[in-house]
Formats: sequence, structure tokens, C-alpha cells
Amino acid sequence: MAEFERLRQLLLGQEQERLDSIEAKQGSLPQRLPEALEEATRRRGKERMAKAIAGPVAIALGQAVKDNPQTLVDALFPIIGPAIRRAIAEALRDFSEGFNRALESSFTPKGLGWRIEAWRSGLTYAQVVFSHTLKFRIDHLFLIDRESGIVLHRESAPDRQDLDADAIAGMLTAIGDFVRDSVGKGGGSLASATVGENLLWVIEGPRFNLAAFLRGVPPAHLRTLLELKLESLHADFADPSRDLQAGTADAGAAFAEGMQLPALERAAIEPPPAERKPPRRWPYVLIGVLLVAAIAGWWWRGHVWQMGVDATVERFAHEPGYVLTQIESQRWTSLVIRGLRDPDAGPPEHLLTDLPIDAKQVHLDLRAMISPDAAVTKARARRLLQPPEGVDLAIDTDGTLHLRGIATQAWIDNATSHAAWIAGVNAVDSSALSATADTKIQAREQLRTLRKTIESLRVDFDHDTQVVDPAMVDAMAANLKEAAALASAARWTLHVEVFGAADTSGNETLNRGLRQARAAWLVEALQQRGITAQPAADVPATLLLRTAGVRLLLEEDHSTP
Amino acid sequence: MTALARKICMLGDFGVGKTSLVERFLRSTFDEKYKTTVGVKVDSKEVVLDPEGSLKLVVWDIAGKSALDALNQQYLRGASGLLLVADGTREATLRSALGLLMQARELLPDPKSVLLLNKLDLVERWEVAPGTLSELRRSLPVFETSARTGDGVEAAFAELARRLMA
Repeated sequence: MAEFERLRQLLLGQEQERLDSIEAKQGSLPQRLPEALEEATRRRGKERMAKAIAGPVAIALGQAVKDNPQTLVDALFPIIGPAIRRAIAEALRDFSEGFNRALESSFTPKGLGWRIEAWRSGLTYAQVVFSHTLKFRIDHLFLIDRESGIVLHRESAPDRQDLDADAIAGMLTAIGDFVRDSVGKGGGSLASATVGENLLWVIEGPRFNLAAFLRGVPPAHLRTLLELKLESLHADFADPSRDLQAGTADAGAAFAEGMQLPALERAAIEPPPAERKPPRRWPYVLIGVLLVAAIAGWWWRGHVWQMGVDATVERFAHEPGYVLTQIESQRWTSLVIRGLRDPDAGPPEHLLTDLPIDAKQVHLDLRAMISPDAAVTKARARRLLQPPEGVDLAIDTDGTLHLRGIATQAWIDNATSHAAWIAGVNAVDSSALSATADTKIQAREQLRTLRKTIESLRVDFDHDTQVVDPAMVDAMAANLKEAAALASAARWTLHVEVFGAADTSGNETLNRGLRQARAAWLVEALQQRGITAQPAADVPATLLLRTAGVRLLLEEDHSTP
Repeated sequence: MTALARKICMLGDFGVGKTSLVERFLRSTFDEKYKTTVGVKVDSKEVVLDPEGSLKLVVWDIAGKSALDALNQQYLRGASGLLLVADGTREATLRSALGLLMQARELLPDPKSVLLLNKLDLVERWEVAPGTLSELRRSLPVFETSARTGDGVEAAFAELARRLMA
């Protein structure tokens, strides 16, 4: 065994020593590794070192997050908390600014105009308010290398004076370093500064900063745009070995993309298309329909009015005894008709019924005249001659008044002597007029007059059949007796019908009973005074009074010669 | 096309004339009144070299100190070149400049450096021995300058620019 060991020592001694040495080195690796890493990061090969360990570190980090996420949460908590607070503060500030502006302009005419613009364009009201109220200009925009402070790219408004961009960017970087070193220990940095009317925004990234020199009140969306631009630049230039020094041609074109000031200014006040609501078309259709309906309604109303005017004018123009001299039409308001009217022409109120125009809107200004029209002349002759019943008047086109029928000799004499003096009457023809006996005619005339008197008399009741004034019954009976005498002289048979009436205080059944009872009471009262009468079969429904009355029926008496 | 730009930092003890050198370089002026730099002052100037072309120097005039504190170290970030300034009449400022160079090299990967021994117009009062200068010239370019007269200033900046473009 010892010899075997000795043989092995002879054969493998050197290899064994080398293995022991390697094992010893491996054992001390944990102690030497940090030192070796520090050494590697100090030398030129630190980029290579970083690349070499990037993969394993990423895998290890992923595994650690999977196995023990709480550790990562605890580690990130101090970073995430301030970041969230900052985001919330920014959002609240933006909301507050927007809310204030929107509230201030909500109820003004300008605000209403903006609402229409928002509705038309599909933008929100707040966006339209911002586009009108936020007047701002971007004077300069610098993309700055964060480490060196050197300007990698710059955009300036053409009308602004040139600046020593590198000096300013360097000073901004130095000031940012100073602010961060002195008051920004918790991760804060210089985000904005104001000098007079000039506003400076600094948006920081790991490799680049953006510095925007502004005037006016820029919308918060501009800052978001700049942040997005900075993020895209970091994504495009993730390779740290790429030469990004100012003036290099390849980087210049990439930096310039999306940094043109007019485009940024427009984009800041106009949200991206995704945020736009599709324009609503139905309001246009609705407005169009309403407009057409309004025009059609206006036209139709005017048409109806004109139809009414035409119909009214035509009716007055064709009515005998009227001459129109002037028509004044104020659309939908009033129609003034000026002209002449014969007093014997038909009443104007009758001409205003059943017209397409409201009679209240028609105003008449009519002066008197004498019309030669045949119909008016006939009416004038009837008014002046008062022909008795049984006499007809007619007038022909040459103005001859024809009298036909039976009348007393006295009336015939009077009519023929006066008719020729009536305006419009050129001649009188009484050849068809014949005289009758005086007694009968006079009796009939008197009875007609008395009939009107008797039928106008009323016997009023207090309630039920309790009469108010019994003397009225006596008067009615006396008149009826006189009528009976005249009827005999006129060779007429007289029938007396009695009717009762009731007011509306009771129901129909009760009132019908009252009407019948009052008629029966008056029949009996008249019979007690020697007058024969019968209850009427029909009772006038329009007489709504607690009363009773009589109607006289006259029939030709053929029994006497 | 925009000229290439490089960040350079002026380092040196206080009162050595860094700001005066920058003024002389940028505006060819000199002010007898001493002005203390607070923090940092940044300026830029385009240097045209033949035949290399043009280079824009962004000059960070950092407040004078014998050692870099944390804030000054941040100011150094991203610098490609260093202008180390010492006052020939005060040898201690040369030591400070060299100390600052050592510190800067810890922070920057490979800074191009030029040493300026300023106040050449007061050469009769210089404390720096010629032998010391000869030793220094072996390791980095050394220029004897005067911000008052302008001697050596353009040459020093041009040399640094040339080295940055190399």
C-alpha cells in the first residue's frame, strides 16, 4: 500500500500539486471576487465586464423576483413611492389647471362657442379651451448629453436671437447637478425655472436631458410629448458605445426627428387622433331637418295667411253694397280693409265667418255710401216701405221696383207714391199688387203684432209651481182674449199652446217634471180665466229659466166665407 | 454641419487665473480686478485647427480648490479634456494642480490634459524651478501663459483641442 502511494506520488505528484493549488484558489474565490470585480471596473475593460455579467445578472434578478418578490418590493419601495407621489401631484395640478380654465369659461358666449367647436371637432371641451387659452411659444429646445452637458441637438424658433447653446446647456447641467446635490437628495431635480416671461423646462433622462425654453402658458400635454420624445431617444440610442457627440451626422438626423418646434406646438394643443371622438353626424342631420322644417313652416304659414287675405278680399269684393279701396296686410299680424259700405248692405261680421284667417286679425275701416246695386236697393226699399206680409219686392237690372201681393189700399197708395224716391229705384211696377178688405187685413196685422207681445210674456216661478207674480197671468189672459177677438175678425183659428221651463239647478228628470208641471199649472190658470189652452208637445230646451209661456198657432179659417 | 463639441474643465487652486485665462481665450480681454468663481461658469468657443478641422470647446470654469469635493466631481462628469492651471509665483498651486489631475483621472477614463503655468508676466517672482518644469514636460504638455498679456493662452487651448481631435 505504501509503495502504491509512493508510485502514485511519483507518477501523479505534479498534477496533484496543480489540482491542490486550483482547489485552494477556488476555495478563496469568494474572498477574491469582489476585489477582482473592482479591479475590472477600474480598467479599460469595464464595458466588456459589464456586457459579460449583464446576462447572468438579468437571469439571476429574474429568478430572485420569482422566488422572493417581497425582497424586490422592499428594495424598490423607496423609489416607487416618490415616483407615484410625483405622478399624482402632476396629474392633480394638470387637472386643477384645466378645471379652473374650463369653469371660468363655461357660461360665457365664448364658452358656448367653444362648446360648439368641441362638439363639431370631436374634441373634449377642455381640449378646445386649452387650444384657445394656452398661448405659448417654444423658443428653443436643446437635447443635452446628461454627463457632459454638451448640446447634442438644438431647435430654435427662427425669430429668436441666437444663444450660446453649449454654454447654456453646460450651465443648466451644472445647476441641475448643484440642485440635485444640495436639495435633491431624495431623487428630485430641477424640473422648471421661470425668468420673467420665459419659462424653462428640464426633462431628465438617464443619458439625455431635454431643455425647453418657452414663453406664455404651455399646456401640460407638451411636457408629456417631450417626455415621450426623450423616452424614444433613449430607446433608439440604448447602445452606450454609440458616438453621440454633437455634430455627428448619424445622430443628428435621428435627434431632429419629431423635434420640430411648430409640429410640437401643434401637437401640444391637439391631442393624438386616438383621443379624438369620431365626429357626430346626427346633429348636422337634425339641424338640417329642423332648418328645412322651419323654412317649410314659415312658407306654409305665409301661404295660409295669403290664402286668408285673398279669400277675405274676394268675399268683400263680391258682396253687394261694399267697395274696397285699400288692403293693408301685415303678415301673421293684421289685415286692414278700407272701403265704402252701404248701410243697407249685409253686416260685415257675417262676411268674416268661415275664413282661413282669424276674424280678430281683420280690422275694418268702412265709410258710408249709397250703393246702386239691385240687392242693396231692394233691401233699402224693404226698409223704407215696410211691406206687409203677403207682399213681395223685386228689382230688375234696369232699376224697376216690382211690387207683388195683397195689401191694404192705404199701404199700396203710400208705397207707389214713395217708392220712386228711393235711391236706386228708377221706376215702380205695382201692377201685380191688389187691395183686400180693410177689416180682415187690419185684424191680421194687429194680431201679428199682438202675437209677438203675447209670446214675449213670461209667468215666472219662485220654486216648483209657486208663481212670483199672479198678475202676469191676468195680463196674459187679457191679451189672449184680445187675440181671440182679432183672430175671429181676421178669419183665423187661434190655438194656444202652453210650455214650461226650468233652470239647470236640478237633474234632467227633475227638470222635465218641473217643465210639465209648470205648463200644466199655466193651462189650468188660463182655463180659470176663460182661455182654452193645451200643453205644448215640445219644450224649448234653450230657455233655462223658472218660467212658463204661450205660443199662438194661427190657421186659416175656411169655415167662413 | 455643427462642429464637434467637447467638454473641458479648468482645474486649479483658487487665484491661479483660471477665469482670466478663459476670458482671454474667449474674449481676448483681461480684468485686473480679481473675481472669485462661485460653483462653475460654462462658456464655449469654436477652435479652428489646420488641418484637423474645427472643434467646439465647452469650457467649464470650476471654482478654484485644492481638492475636488463631491459637487466638483459631478461637474467633471463627461469631460474629455482638462486644463490644469497653476500659478508660477506659488509653487504650492502646482502641487494642487497635479493632485487635482490625479483625482480627475480616478473619475474620467482617459482625459486629455494640458498644464498651464500662469502669470508669465510675473516671471521674475516665479517659485517654480525650471528643472521641475522639465520634469513635468516629460509626462504632459506644459504651457507658460499670461492671461494679462495673452502669451501662450491660445496655444495651450489649441494644443488641448488638437489632442482631443487626435
